[in-house]
Amino acid sequence: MFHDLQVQGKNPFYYGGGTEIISFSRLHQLYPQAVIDVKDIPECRVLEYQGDTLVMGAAVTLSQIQESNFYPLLSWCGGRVADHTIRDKITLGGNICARIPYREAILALLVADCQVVIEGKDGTKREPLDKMFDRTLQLEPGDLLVQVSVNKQHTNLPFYSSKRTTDGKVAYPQDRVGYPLISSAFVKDNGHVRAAFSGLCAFPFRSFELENVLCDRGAPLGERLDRIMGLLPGQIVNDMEGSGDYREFLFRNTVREALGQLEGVEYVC
Amino acid sequence: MLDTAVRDVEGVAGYQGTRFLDKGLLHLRVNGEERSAVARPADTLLEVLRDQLGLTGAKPSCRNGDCGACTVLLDGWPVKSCLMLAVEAVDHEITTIEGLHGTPMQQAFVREFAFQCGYCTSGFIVNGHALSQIHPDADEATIREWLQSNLCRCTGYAEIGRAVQSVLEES
Repeated sequence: MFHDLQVQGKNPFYYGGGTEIISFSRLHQLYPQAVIDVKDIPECRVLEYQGDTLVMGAAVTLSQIQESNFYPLLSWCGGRVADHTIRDKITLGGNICARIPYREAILALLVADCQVVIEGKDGTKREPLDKMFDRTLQLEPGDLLVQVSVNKQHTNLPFYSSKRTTDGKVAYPQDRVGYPLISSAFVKDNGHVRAAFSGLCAFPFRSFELENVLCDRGAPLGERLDRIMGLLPGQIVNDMEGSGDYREFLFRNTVREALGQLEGVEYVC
Repeated sequence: MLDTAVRDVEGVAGYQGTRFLDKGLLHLRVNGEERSAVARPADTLLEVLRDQLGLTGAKPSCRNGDCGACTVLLDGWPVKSCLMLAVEAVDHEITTIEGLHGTPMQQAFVREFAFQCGYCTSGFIVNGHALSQIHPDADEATIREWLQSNLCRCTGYAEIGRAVQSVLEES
């Protein structure tokens, strides 16, 4: 159907929660002449354990994931996207494939070595997320993300996760909702720390090189952090939300806090 | 249910079960009643509720999902009707502020004076009502998380928080 609509010049979009499509269309930044609603596809609505694998359909909302709490780190990362009411609409697939640069739900998936199921014109393929994600999910035109699956052992690892924004707490009960200057997800698996970040660069990322330096416990943390700064996969974002220097400061503190918590060591600035 | 809005493609190979939508008649279940509206597929639920069905309790404000003044319930869950197409609501139960009649949340908002200009009030009440139904044992963090979805430019948050909390304590 996607290809038929494309041939007709309709610039089709897959439609999950639709929040980004509606808001960008309103601003004339998107002009889809056709959308394909995927919410009624049964495979896209799955949220369950199948044996030892947690299977999550792309049309499952972030609120449903948060309420199920099958994967606490994902509940946490997805649970700070936008606000609660919008998370009743935003889908997992929509957040992963969004145009917005932050896409915080992906952080918990990047550190979980998960698999993605993609339906395309050549059929169904199942691939590791690591292979398919490079700044964005690498989809061909017409490819549809159907499911994400995570092995149960990855859902129960000790984790650290934080989101830092320009806005602090305002007044009870109103906390300000905002885009992250730095959003992070760390897990510790058999002594190895995996980490993913959003907000630091113009795209979410996980870097194996960065993790190897992070886990080089023979070196002082300050030295490791200096080496990590040279391994970032892109320029640090420098905009009106926060300067590059401030983001670097927050990044260093985030790593220090995360390692301190996961390793039970207090790292002094 | 959709009728004239649906172009029949059942006979077309590869499209069985698919519904193509044009502008047409849309049947929605709103506040327990069957309602009909003529809508385009691109019309938001907020526009259809207000302009077609005369239900003006859901307020247009930011139209960008930021303020929560247009909050309605979809199968009991709060959603921002400015960020939802009306066609998505077909086969679902929609509840607007007009569908709430003397609920404890409404009474609590009156009791606590939890409104000033009143423009955000319906959105807050609908959201708070959903919270009291879904998580009657909600803790403070959960209340705060849910209420983050709505803005009050008169900044009457303390009274709103007290109203919501009082209903949850009673339940």
